[in-house]
Amino acid sequence: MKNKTLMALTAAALALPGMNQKSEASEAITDFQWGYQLTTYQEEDSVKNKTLLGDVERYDIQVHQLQFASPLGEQRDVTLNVTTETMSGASPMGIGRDANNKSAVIMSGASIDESRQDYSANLRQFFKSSDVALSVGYSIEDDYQALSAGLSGNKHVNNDLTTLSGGISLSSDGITPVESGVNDRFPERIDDEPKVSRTLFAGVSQIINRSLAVQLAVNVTSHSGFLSDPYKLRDQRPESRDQWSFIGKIRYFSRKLNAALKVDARWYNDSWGINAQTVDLKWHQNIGQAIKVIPTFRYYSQSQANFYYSSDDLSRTGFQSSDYRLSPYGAMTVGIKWITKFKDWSLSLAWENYQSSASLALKPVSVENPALVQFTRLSFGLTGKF
Amino acid sequence: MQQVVLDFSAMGGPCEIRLYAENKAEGHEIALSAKQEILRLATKYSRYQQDTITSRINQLAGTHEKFKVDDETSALLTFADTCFKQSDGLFDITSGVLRRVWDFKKNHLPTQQAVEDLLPLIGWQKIQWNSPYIQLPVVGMEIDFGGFVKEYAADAAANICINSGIKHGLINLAGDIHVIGPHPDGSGWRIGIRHPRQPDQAITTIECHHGALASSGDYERFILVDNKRYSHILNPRTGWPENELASVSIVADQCIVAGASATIAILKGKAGIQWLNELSLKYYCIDWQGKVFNM
Repeated sequence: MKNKTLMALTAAALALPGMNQKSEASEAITDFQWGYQLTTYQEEDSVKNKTLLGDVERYDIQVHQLQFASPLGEQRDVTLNVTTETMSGASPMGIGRDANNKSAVIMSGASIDESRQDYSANLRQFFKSSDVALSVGYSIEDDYQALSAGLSGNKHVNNDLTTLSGGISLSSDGITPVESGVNDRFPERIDDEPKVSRTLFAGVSQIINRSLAVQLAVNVTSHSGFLSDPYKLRDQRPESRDQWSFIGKIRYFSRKLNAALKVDARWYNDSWGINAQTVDLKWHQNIGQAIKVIPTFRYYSQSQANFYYSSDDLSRTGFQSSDYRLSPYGAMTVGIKWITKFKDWSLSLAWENYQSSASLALKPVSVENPALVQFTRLSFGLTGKF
Repeated sequence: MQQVVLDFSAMGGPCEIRLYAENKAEGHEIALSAKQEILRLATKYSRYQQDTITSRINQLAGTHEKFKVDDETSALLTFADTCFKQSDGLFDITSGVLRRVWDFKKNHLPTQQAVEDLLPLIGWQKIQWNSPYIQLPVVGMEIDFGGFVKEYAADAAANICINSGIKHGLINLAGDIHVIGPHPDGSGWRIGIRHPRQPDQAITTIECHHGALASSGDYERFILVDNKRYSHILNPRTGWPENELASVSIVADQCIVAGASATIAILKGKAGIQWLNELSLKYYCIDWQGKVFNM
């Protein structure tokens, strides 16, 4: 829109209450809804010549998610989620050096079989131009328990064209690694350590016109307690970590193409020295009323943590980690999702492939972490309402 | 997919709601709620009925009492204020008082004196508008939403359908049209533009997939004296019609923007064409000699 007059007229027209486009999440649900999703996540095997010791077969994870949502009167609804996750495979324990002095992974010797259960509930209350949500969650696995709670809200102003959002959440976790007893294989492992995380976020979204909406948000998280990985051979991290993210989102809807482009960008940095950038592109293509196809592309790049080392050294003291998640790398994800609606049913199928490597990082990396992961994720979902 | 058609009469003309829905019952229900919205706005902003918001504001003219308007009326007055400023004072919702001397049902012209006597009652700049408070300072002054409320109703009705999940259909309020989306096969709606001298014939058709189309012209209501046409679109400064452009049709995202722009173009007279070109909206315009301009 180039013309000033047209811009002024359009802005005044969009301020009219009858022009409001109903935003998707601005009302309490009116029907009882349920959903089921199965996700399988398969990490590619560790490359043989990059593996020093242990099993090359990395994690396979299966996730079953069940969701129920129900209205509680006209202005309130509740959602319950149950997730159960089973994983098997080996994980990297450390990074050593091979005969040619190259970094190579030391994998956990035997395959690990683990499971995790997660329960959460979310209660939303709607008012004339605002809503608040309260959530609680509990997650338990063999060696980890987490209890979390959150409060968030949205306030719509400027004839619902502007939405102010904010929220806080708190998580209290306990880490109780296996095989850590005096007579066990790893007596030096910790027994029971706490961890606390607090998150604060604030955002503003603005509907520019019928086709365009933008959002800016900031997210601050502070962790304290035991933040190291108890299963690594050498892993000693600071007992606090502060994270900041700045997020920009653009939503563009083309009525002509009956499609929407969603672009998310995120700038992240933390007190461990990691800077990261993410760009996420999603194209939501509607085909008729019943089918939606969503190709996705995501690029991610991060720098290393201050105390990251490309290999472990048993004589080293002080903060240290060779965890690939703290190493410098870049990653690319491509995926496609298909959603078919039939009356009150909706079926979704999604495929996603993730590749990470040092060469994908924005800045050159001298030594690539050999434990960097590649995985494929497949998911199947079914939702219905009655 | 099933087509649902609802015809009725409102806002001084024939109205039509055409929707495609998964089933007829659901489509009909949505069309009815869109119709309700149109009737609600027709009643709320009627200038004929007593005790409407328009008459209550106008009754207080000349008193020092401020009138507090609701959110919707406030947004409409702000829209009118924007139109006034963007048209250098030509689009003026106080010019309705000229109807006291311009009777388009009778075929005779008012006297220059009668027109001039009304001019002191015209001028949006004289109105105290400080949202949400409005005050008309002179006894006899009037405001009138008639110049854009029908277009707004088309937008609001379309929005109700869109928010109910309708993707294909249109709202047509006597030529003020909001296209919700194309026919289910993807083809656009073919909308005829009236010939200003043969209003039952289309001079051209515009294919529209999305958005709105509104027209303004001297063919809707006029007085014909000595073969000269006097349109109902009156210049608030002179109190007389602008006759240079016979018809202007504009395509915009919102019907209210299309309609107000078409009216402003006509009020600008010859300069209207240049103004339309700068506005960069698709338009189709015919001047009094029948010459066509479009973009």
